[in-house]
Amino acid sequence: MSGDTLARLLQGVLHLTPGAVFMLGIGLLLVYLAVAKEYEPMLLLPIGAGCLLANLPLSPMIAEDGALSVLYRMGIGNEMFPLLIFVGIGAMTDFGPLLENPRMMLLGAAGQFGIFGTLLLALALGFELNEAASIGIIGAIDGPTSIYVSNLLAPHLLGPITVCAYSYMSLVPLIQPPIMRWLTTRRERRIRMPYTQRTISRRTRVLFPIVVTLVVGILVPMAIPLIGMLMLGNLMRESGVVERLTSASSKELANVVTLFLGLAVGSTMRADSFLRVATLKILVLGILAFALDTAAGILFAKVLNAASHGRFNPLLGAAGISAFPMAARVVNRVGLEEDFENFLLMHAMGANTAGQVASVVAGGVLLALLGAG
Amino acid sequence: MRRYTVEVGGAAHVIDVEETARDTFEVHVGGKEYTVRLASAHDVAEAVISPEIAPAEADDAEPPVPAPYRPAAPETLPPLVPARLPALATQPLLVEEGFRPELAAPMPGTVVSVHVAAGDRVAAGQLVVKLEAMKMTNAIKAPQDAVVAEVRAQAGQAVGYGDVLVVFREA
Repeated sequence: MSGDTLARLLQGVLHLTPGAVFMLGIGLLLVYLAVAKEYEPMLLLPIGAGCLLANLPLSPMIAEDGALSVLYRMGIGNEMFPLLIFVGIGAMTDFGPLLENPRMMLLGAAGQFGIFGTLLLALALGFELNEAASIGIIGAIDGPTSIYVSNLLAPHLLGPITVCAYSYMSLVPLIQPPIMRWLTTRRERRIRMPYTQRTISRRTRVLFPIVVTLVVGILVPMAIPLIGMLMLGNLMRESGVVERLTSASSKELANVVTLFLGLAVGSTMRADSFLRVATLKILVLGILAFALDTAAGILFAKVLNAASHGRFNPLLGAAGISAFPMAARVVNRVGLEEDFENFLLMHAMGANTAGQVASVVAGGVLLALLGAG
Repeated sequence: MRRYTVEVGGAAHVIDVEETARDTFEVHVGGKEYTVRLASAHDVAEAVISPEIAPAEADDAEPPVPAPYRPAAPETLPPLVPARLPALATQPLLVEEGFRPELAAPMPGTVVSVHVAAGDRVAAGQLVVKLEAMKMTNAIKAPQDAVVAEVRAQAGQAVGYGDVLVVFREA
C-alpha cells in the first residue's frame, strides 16, 4: 500500500486540527447538557449536533452544497427560520393573563433596560456598535430575536450569541432567584396580590394581535417581521377558525423549523470564528445582560409597588423578560418559598408575555437605531 | 381599591375597600385598617363587593381614580347596592387569624391529584391538592391544622379561581 493511499484513507485523521478537536468538545458538551441535564434539549441537541457535523474534518456537510450550508442559506441567512418560529410561538401563547392585567406591559418594557446597559458595556469592551447591539439583545433571553438581530447586524457572532441566549434560557431558574432575593426584602416577597379573574371577550383576544401589529408596525417598522409573525400566530390561535393552521404552526412547523434552525446555527460554530476571546466576552456580557434585565425589571416593579402603596409584589419584575414560561415559573416559585399560599403565577404570566412582545419591539428599535435593513 | 362614601345622619363616612384576595378585603374606615375575610368565596362572588357603578358626572368632585379601577361615584350609588347589601351583611365575617373552613383554588387550572380524604387530619403546610395551571403544577397546602370535612376537588377536574377544593373543620 503506497503512502498516498494511506493518506487518502486516513485523511480525516490527518486533517484533525486542535481547533476542530476543541470545537468537537464544545459540540459534545452541548449534546451532554441537552441529554443529561435537559437544558433546553429541543435546541441545544440540534445545535450541538450541528457543531459536531460541521467540525468533523473535511465535513461535506459544510461544503458549498452541503446539507448544513443549504439549511443556513435556506433560513438563517435570510432570517426565515426565526420568523417561522415566531409564528409557532404566537400560536402557542395565551395573552389572556396580560389582557386581564394590562399594566404588566410596563414590566415587559422595564425588562428590556438591560439590553441597552449591556450595549454600552460591550462598547466599552471594544466591540463595534453593531456587535454590541447584538450582544445586548441576549439580555432579553429571546432566542429567535437574538438570531434575527445578530444575523442582520453581526453575522460573524451568530454562533456564540445564539448558544449564549439558549444556554442562559435554560439557566433562568439558576440565575434569577439569587438576584431576586438580593434585590427584595422578605416583606416585599410576601406581598399578596389580588387576582381578579376577568373574562376576556373573544373580540378583545382577536383584536389584540391585530392592534399590536398595526401600532408596533407603524412605530417600529424594523420590528414588523418579528411582531407580524408572532401576532399572526396568535391571531390564528384566537380567531379559532383555522384550527389546522394553528395546530400545524405550533406543532409540526415549530418542531421542524427548530430542528433546522438548531442544526444551521450549530454549523456556524467553527474554530476560526468561535475560538476567540470575543466568544468569552460574549458569554460574560450575556449573563451580565440577563442579570441587568432581571434587576431592571425588579427595580421598576419596586417603583410600581411604591406607587401602589405596597400592593405590588416586586418579584414580578423578574418576569418581564422573554424566557417564557420559565421566568414566570421562577417568580411563582420564589414567592411560594416565603408564603406557600402566595401564588403569583397568573400575574407573572402576564408580565412574561409582555416581556416577549417587548423584547421583539426592543430588537426592532435596535435595528432601527443602527439603520439596518 | 374601591371607595364608598356613606352618609349617615348627614355625616359622610369614607370607606375604602381593597380586595387582596377573592375572600379577603382590607377595609379602611376613619383612619383604621381592618382585614375582613369572608367565609365563603362562592358567596362573595354573588355578593355585591364590586358593584358596577356608573361613572360619575364630569362635575363630580371625586378625583379621578387610576385606570385599573372603576371610578366610584359617591352620591350616585345605584339602588341595586342597598337592595342587595343584606346578602353581604349576613355573611359571617372572620378576622385574619381565624379558622378558614374552605380552601379555594388560588388560580384557574386543572386538579392533578387530591392528597387527602374526608376525615383526614392535616397539619398547616401539608400538601392537600396539586393544581396544574399554565402547565405548571402547584402544590396547594393546608393553611392551618384541621380535619378534612369534605373533599370537593376531583383529579382531572377543571376549576376556576375561588372554587372550593376542600372544606375543613377545626381539629
